[in-house]
Amino acid sequence: MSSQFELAQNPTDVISAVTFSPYTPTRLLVSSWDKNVYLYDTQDGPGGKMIQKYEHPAPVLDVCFGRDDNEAFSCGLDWEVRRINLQSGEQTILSTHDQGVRSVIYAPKHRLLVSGSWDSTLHLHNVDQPGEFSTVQLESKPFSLSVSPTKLVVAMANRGVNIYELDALASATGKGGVVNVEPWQRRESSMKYMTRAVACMPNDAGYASSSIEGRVAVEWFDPSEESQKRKYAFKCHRQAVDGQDVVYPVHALAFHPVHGTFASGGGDGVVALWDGINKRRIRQYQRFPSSVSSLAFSGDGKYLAVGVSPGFEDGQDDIPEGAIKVFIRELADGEAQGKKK
Amino acid sequence: MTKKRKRYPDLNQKLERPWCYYCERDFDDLKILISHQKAKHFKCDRCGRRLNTAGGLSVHMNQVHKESLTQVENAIPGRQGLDIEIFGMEGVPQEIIDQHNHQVTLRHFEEEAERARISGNPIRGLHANGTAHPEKRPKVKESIEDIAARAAKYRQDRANGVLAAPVDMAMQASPPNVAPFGAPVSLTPPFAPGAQAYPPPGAPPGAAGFPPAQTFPPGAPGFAQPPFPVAPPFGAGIGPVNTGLPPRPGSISGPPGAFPPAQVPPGQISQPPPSALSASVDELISSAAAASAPAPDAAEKKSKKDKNIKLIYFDESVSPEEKMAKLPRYASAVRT
Repeated sequence: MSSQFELAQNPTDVISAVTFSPYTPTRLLVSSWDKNVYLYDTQDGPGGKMIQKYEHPAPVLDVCFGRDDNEAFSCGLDWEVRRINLQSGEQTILSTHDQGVRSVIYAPKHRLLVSGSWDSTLHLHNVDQPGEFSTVQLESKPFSLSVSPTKLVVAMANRGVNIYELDALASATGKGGVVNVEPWQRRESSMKYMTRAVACMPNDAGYASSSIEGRVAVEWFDPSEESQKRKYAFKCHRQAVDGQDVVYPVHALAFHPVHGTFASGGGDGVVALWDGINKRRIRQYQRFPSSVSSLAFSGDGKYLAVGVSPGFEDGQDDIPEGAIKVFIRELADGEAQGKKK
Repeated sequence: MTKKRKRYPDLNQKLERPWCYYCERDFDDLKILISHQKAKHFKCDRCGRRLNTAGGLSVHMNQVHKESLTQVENAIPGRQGLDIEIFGMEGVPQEIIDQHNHQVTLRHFEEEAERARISGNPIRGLHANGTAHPEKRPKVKESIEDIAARAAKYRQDRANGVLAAPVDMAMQASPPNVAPFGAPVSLTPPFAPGAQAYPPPGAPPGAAGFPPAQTFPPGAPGFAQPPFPVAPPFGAGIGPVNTGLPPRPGSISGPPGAFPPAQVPPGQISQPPPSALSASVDELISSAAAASAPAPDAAEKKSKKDKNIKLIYFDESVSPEEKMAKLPRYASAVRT
């Protein structure tokens, strides 16, 4: 039994997202710039098995699971937000943005699907009423979305961060058209450079965000001064080359659903596990062959999926064959556990 | 009490430090090195057990976890191999040791030179064994009257145009004497040397090539001579006018050649020159000041914010995905 393996059938272009089903820990969705969404069973035979492939008209930028194992939502450069029936392969267009759609995320408790597009809007969809959606105008382009049990965090261009209450968003969903939902909090990123990814703590206490300048910040939702004082940021995903610090963007963040620790993946091909409470690095895995573009823990926290694609940062035009891979790491007991109290 | 001087380790102490084959880090003693290797390079990433060697870890991974170890973790490229059995400093190939020692030696001298450059102090051991420091000025006894007489004579000469302008003088005087600042300068005994470089005191005023001679009252060779040996560093001090500036502008900032260095503290430079002279002196000062100003400034900045970083991706507001979406290979698929 090997603790880490790569999927047997990989996408052919840069991986935009990997995500495990919250219901079955071996069901994995992968979206790619090769215009496909892939569904895998990671434990079916060596290297897992690709169950099905869902073709899109344009590169797919994000994918997430919906109400059950057979429902997924995707978005991409065709400007559409789609629902995919994973069993039949049937696709339904839920809404259309005015620009490419960067992220899509599902909040299960509120049955709310949120999509974020470079047209600087969010679309709120009620998954029980397909075709109905409301639009929320943002100050700038959203780059990353993440939900906690009660909040939605939107990391935007110009270092803006909006935190919405899911209750408020859910109630605005049915109204249709452009709705005015005031964010619960409006913050400025605590990092100097563009925000790359954001991920909420599973215990609803706060969130971590990462920037293109090898840095990760951890902050808390609680607006009280003492909680805000606890926020911090640290440098990572850097490499000293000839006395010069080469700084990689941190593309991916993912919280462990059980231990509350988190993983970061960077342009240097390194995945590191961090204990955000004790401010410790738990471990750093051996370098992957190229840039880590996406990370996901399975619902039970036993597996970590790592999407690896080269040329992600500088948009190189030629991508070497076979360098795009999804790795699945089976975590040992306590491998992602922080310091015990 | 004077401040205790910081002792920098000498080369031998540095070479004796144990260091890690896998990551080139050095340690105070062997025990620490071994515990470092166990924690960083020989630790099982499945169960956290710390083994003594890479071979041991490989066997452990095989037997306990049924996995095979392919390389040593956290090792610098090229040293990840499992074929060499390393324990502490044992097992390190001789050529790697030589290479390491060479690098330590190079770095040592580099640091030493850098310290010498920053502090302006001589490199340790360089002027031991009775060799005087090149900058040390021989002690000169001169009464206040002598100084006054000399200064008066000087002013008169300047006013009469006997002396060349200081700038010219600097150019002529410096080349033969310019010595790298702080570099080993073999010093000639105080009385023999200058004679070759400079005409003896009291030389005819026409010898404009070496006007410093004129700054001393003729007929007082005894005291006129001593300043000459000072010339080398002095010449270097003039440097800013036509060459690079030494790191410590304060060391010799008097208008070169205007006054014998031994007698006039740099602070008094602007005090006595007659009007005929003042312009050129001012010019010299300002040019020296201009040359010296950026140097310490830049050094200060560097030490404060030594941010030598290279961003792999940089843009204010366009994400990598947006850039990628504009690539020609996606042009047909992207909706516009």
